[in-house]
Amino acid sequence: MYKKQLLLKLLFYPLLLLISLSSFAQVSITGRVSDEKGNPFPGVTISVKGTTRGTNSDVNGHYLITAKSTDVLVFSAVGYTKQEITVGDKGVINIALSPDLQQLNEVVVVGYGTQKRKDVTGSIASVKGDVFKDQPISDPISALQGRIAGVNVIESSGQPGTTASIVIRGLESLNQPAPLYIVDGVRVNDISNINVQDIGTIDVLKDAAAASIYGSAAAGGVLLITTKKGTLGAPPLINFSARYGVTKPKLVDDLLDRDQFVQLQNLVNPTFFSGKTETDTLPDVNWEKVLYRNAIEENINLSVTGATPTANYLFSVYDNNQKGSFIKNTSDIAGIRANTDYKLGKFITVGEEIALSQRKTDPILVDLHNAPFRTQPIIPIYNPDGSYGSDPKGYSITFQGPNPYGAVNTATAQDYTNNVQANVYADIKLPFHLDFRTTYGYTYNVYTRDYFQDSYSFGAVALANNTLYKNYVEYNQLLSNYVLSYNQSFGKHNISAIAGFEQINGSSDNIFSSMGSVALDGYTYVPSSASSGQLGLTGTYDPNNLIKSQFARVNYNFDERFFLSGSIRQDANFTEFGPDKVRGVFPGGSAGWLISDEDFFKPVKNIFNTLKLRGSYGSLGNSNILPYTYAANYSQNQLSSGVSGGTQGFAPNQPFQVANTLTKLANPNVHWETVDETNIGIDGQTLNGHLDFTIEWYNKNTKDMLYPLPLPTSSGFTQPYIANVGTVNNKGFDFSASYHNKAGKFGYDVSVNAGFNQNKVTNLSGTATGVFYDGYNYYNNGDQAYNITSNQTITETKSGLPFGSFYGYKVIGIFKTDAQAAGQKVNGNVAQAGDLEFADLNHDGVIDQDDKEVIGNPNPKLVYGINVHLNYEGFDLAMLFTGVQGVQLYNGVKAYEQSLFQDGNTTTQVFGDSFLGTNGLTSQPRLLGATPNGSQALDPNTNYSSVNSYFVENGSYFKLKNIQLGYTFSSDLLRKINVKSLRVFVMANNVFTITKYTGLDPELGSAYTTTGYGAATTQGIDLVTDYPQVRIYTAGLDVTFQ
Amino acid sequence: MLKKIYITVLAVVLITGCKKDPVNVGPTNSFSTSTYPQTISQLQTVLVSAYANLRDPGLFGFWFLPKALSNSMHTVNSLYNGDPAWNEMANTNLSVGNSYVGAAWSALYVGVKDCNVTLYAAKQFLALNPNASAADKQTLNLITGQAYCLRGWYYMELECLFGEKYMGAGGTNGTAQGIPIYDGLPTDLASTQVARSSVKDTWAFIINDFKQAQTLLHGQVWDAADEARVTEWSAEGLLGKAYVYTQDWADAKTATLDVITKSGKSLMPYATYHNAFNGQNKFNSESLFELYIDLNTNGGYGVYSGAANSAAINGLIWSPFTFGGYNANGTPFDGTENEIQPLGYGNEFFHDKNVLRFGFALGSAFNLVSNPKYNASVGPAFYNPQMIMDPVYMQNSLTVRTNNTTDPRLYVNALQPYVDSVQFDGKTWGKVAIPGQFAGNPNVYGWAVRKYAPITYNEGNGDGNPFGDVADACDYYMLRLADVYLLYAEACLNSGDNTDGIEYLNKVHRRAYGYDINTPVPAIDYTSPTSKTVAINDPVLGNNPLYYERWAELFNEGSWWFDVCRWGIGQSEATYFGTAVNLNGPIQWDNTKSYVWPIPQSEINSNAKIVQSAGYK
Repeated sequence: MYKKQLLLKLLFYPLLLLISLSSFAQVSITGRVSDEKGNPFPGVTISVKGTTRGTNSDVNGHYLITAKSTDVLVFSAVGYTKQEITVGDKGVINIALSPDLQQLNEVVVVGYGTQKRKDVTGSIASVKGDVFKDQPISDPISALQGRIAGVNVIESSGQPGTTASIVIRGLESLNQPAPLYIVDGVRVNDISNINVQDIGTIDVLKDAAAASIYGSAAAGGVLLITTKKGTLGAPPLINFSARYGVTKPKLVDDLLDRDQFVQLQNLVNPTFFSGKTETDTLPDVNWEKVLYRNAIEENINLSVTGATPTANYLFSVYDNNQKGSFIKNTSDIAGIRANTDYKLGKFITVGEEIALSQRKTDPILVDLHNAPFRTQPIIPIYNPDGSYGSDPKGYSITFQGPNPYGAVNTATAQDYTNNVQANVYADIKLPFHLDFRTTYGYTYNVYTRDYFQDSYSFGAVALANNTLYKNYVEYNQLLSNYVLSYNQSFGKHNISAIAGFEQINGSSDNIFSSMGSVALDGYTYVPSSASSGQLGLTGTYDPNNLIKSQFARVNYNFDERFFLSGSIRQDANFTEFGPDKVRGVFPGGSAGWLISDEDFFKPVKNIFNTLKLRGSYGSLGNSNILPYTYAANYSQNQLSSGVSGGTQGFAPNQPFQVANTLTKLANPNVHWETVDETNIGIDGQTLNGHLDFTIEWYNKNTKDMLYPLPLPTSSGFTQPYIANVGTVNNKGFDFSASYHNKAGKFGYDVSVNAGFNQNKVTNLSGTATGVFYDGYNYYNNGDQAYNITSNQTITETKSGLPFGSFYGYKVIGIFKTDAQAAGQKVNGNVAQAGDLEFADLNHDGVIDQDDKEVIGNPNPKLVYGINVHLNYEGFDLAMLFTGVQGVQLYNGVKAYEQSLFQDGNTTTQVFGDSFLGTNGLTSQPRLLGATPNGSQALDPNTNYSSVNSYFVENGSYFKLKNIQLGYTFSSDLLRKINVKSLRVFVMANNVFTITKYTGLDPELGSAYTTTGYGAATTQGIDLVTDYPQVRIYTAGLDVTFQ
Repeated sequence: MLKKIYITVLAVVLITGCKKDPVNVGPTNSFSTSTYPQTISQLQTVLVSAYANLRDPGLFGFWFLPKALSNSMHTVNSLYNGDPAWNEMANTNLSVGNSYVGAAWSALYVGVKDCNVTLYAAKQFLALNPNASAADKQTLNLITGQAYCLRGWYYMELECLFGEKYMGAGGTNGTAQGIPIYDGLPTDLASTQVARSSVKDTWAFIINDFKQAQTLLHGQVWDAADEARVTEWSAEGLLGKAYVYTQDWADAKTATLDVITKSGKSLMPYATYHNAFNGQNKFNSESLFELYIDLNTNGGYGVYSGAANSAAINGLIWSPFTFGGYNANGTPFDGTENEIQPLGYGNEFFHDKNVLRFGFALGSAFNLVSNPKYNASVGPAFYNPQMIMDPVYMQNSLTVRTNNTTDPRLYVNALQPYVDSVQFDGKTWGKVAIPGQFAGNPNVYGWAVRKYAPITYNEGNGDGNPFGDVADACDYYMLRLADVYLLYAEACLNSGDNTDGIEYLNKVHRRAYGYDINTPVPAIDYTSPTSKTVAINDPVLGNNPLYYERWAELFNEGSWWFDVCRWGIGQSEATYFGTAVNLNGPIQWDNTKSYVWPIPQSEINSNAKIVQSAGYK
């Protein structure tokens, strides 16, 4: 007996010793942990309070732990409220965890580390991956739309493969930088290849103090993307999701058909069809139907997550396929990811994130104005002889454009983008509360294009020889950083600090090649005898890209009530700035006070559960310019039309001689642009934790903006001069609140966010003229002459105005009688009834350059979003509303819809013009008028062909961006076939828009700019060259196996 | 454990390494100003840009002649009305935003910059080669001499287009606004803010450039591989032109006579002359400065080619129409205006008023009659038309030609429909057609442009071009001896030397009729500055041999616009031509602005010191 006891003791003692050296009288406790829906909850940490003992719940939510009756068990899981239960005499403890409403406990990713929400003193907003996981989006930027106050995400194009644009707290620079993207701690240039469904969270650093640890690259804000990993201790889970959607383009839908076209031409160009009676036998083609279609968006995703005691992992594979609404336009991306952490020992953890993807795109190779405007309904798709249709013979009407269907079909191309993003890291715990982490990131992408342009003949436009183009563009980047961090508490004093070094070096390598008259259609160079003289080859290699940085940050708090933080970073960029201007230093500091933890706050603690005041100030840099602007170099001569002028012949049958020249004015003084920002905020929680709110005020000043100054053409330098100019101020409020509660089985969660912003250029010193003009009503992007307001700019940017203010004639009304109109002269033509009355600023009776004034502001005063999430038993309903208030748009499309531009088509709206045909005075200005010599002319008063406020419209809108209805099947039955959960859903994107805007869609970003920079000066211009936006109807399912 | 840590740390540090701070980082695809040009041949490449730039689309590459000047001069009439900037040119009433004005301004100043870069690079070459050989130094002189000559040309073109006024004898109008002058490369933003020099200072600068060029190029004779380079005679000829344009008659006479007597150049015979504007007879005995154009674009589309070349595409615009051609299914065009093709875009034709001004006295109306040789078994085809021009009218037209009752230069400059033929594919002839919408219209001549137009191949699709490319065939004359003769004549007539003046007009006139230029031909010779010319119903050119000869001889070469402006005959020209197809109503000539092109808006927007010309404010 004794022996037996001894044996038992010998056997168990070490074990007990291991579990707890100090306790005895242990009992085994079992139980089941479930989530808020009653499903088994694996991976929950169950620990004994005050000890290091613990375990995890298994795949069925079951656990086993030994404890004393006086012990307290702590059940915790990320995102769920911690629960503590005293063991007592219970042998079985079943428990349901509910989601954590105390946001202050969530973990926030900050630069080179994480912080508890409670400790954050800068402006950082977070979005969880779950909320957008199944939305029909394929880039992380779109995922943020309508979800964060002060973050304006604009989806202005339905083109497959395009990413949304993002502006955080107003445009802050003439060459607005994109945000800095940090994925799993590594800076990447492109996030369009990230699988949205792999994203765990996106944290957005909105203010300068939070972002200043990223210094020179952070002026556009910082997006920190953390991809998912397995939950420690959880069993493998396999998730499969799939969705399929139909996309419908939003198009101008009232193009003139044949008879209407002839009817209009008989009024505008009577010679075209004069004396012809058989026009009803002409073709009648609806080119919109020829060129556009309903298309699809589909996505499948498969992931495996899990963990072992020493490792956790995620493996995923996905494919997103988007067909464009324009014919022959698709984009398909597929990718895989592997994320793993390994605990090599007590003090060392290593891990990696590897993502590979390939995107294949059938790009658009034609100008979109071809549809719908640059077409004629009387041109057939094909001529009777089988060639692509051209103008019917025997009429004097001519069409100088290509047959758009022929243009699409005589060109084929495939673009491939292959991406590798591979990171490895090692984290080593060192003595003295130090931790060393080093990360090594490798980015590699290769873009290739095969583009076969066949010869063609479309009446006026012909191409004699076919040409095959093959392009290869490779970029690779090595990033390495070393970060030493320190964490220690001395009584109530808590300090954490980091110091680090980071280096990024990259190289690019590319080849652009072409061969004319290839013998075989396709993507292989097969020469014909004519090909030898039709070879093109250029290429560059540049390994110079190098940025070196040092940075440090100290966080201090006293008693978790008072918080202080300071950071500093020095960046050295060796290719953007000249030898004397390489380095820039960017400091930031912030402080916070958790006032709700003060004793004196206790009386109101039941009103405000928490309340935190915080303030920050910091500096950020911007270097968003092309490299080497500080130096001027000789390169091969280019004419304004291209490389044709790279040589010149000097006699027949002699080789052409190479031409080199200087093409730009160097600016050795060009240096960092700086953004200084003050941020003051209040975070709070009230109504027993059901309502969270944040209010922030910010004031942001940008100085020394980097901008390509247009040099006088007389300088002969056609490339712009990159210089530091002017200052701009953005200030405003960000406000967000979310309310979440349950009423029986009905759960609801409503959050609202709003960003108010005011943008103002405070000076434009450093420029030659103190003003920039930009923005054209393009018919063909880049062609400033061939459009309805030929060579006229739409915006003006100067001190005292917001960026890109619309600038033109102000319309006072429409003249009702000729007598009224007689006092107005435009280009020597006296106005008539039906013409627009323009404000004559200098009262000289002549409307000209001197009468232009500011006629609109394209910078929205308010951008907001509303998220509603409802659930009842298995049903869930999510709605995302977005809206913009206080913005004007320039509806450039309207000019083409109500007028007739050159040899193209227009819409039936044109028949509403004043005095057209039998019309009298209408609400639309007249199209045809008289000139001094008595002849009839198109638009002599420039109603449609000048930049004026008739085209400036209120751009405010309220949109139901996404509505999603899902049902999650109850688990009992499914569990038998190893299905943990199954959700099916249907949704619609871009459901409705409430707006006074008369164009197709008021959600507009920045239009094309010839400067190639920023586009702060071309916002809010609606162009016929835009790819149509789409409405998407989707159904899908999301199933998790275990 | 410690080992693992060391291995991991070491491995990561080794792999990534830490780069040293680099010094003097520069682009890898271009040459640094501090080390280039090292050699004289590198310097040569810098100069080549100043030549190549002449082919900018804004200049002789595409738009300057066919879209801008030819419309302003009304040598052509535009069928195409789809381009407002183009219509404005025909209307000789420009807006500040006119794209062809902007393009010419920009391209001419790029040319100036290219010349200034050459001069800058020449200095750098000497700095990098303090011990350059004598031969290199001589080559360097030739390079800078060419740069000065080209810069003078660019500035003269700019001044003639944009200067507020032409300077008169004794410097009248000299205080009007000229153009911004850069005597070197700007170094910073402030030095790009250049005000307009006065007309007087501008011309002084131009004249100085030509003089420097003349000195530096003295004695240089280019070998066959470099025929298109400017010489001292190009420089002196242009110098003479500058003197004439500024009414410095004495200096003008000296310079132009110097070129006439010493350059070794001579007027080419008419037979050569007839075919000197369509790709043949390049670098002939009369050529003083010629822009070399090559049919080979290396596969691309003219000046839009993605490959470096020496091409231009003006001919696309003023290409003739022909009955010749085949449909996509291989059937021949049927020989009627329902099936015709242009040898390019077919945007323009020869303005009818020019037919009369060259003295073509037959009316425009003729009938089509049944073709007696029509072969029904072949069927209607462009080589077997059912209807042909009335043989009487045909015969009369040919008689006019053979008897020289019209100025033979009409046939250098134009093609008569139904009479003349072109090769639409490099080998097959087809008769020239009237543009479709004028078919059968008795009030329209509808002739086609011949000078500088494609007439032996289809420029629109490359068919018949030996390289299959879209490109012009012809070189462009920047200066030729006939021009210098006429400049000399003008200088003589204006300085009391009517005898020499009339004689030099007659020399050019005689060549056009195929006579020996030095032997009087009483039948056609002018006898006084107001002798009648062949121009029909033309109150101005009809009685002014100087005006007429400059118009007829240099037709469609671009300089007539400057003559109209400096002589102040814009209103009478507008009246003579009346209107154009791409206009609604009469030409809106405006004496207060039409003589001057506006400073482009882009310049106004970026140059704080520029002041717009009167008439455009």
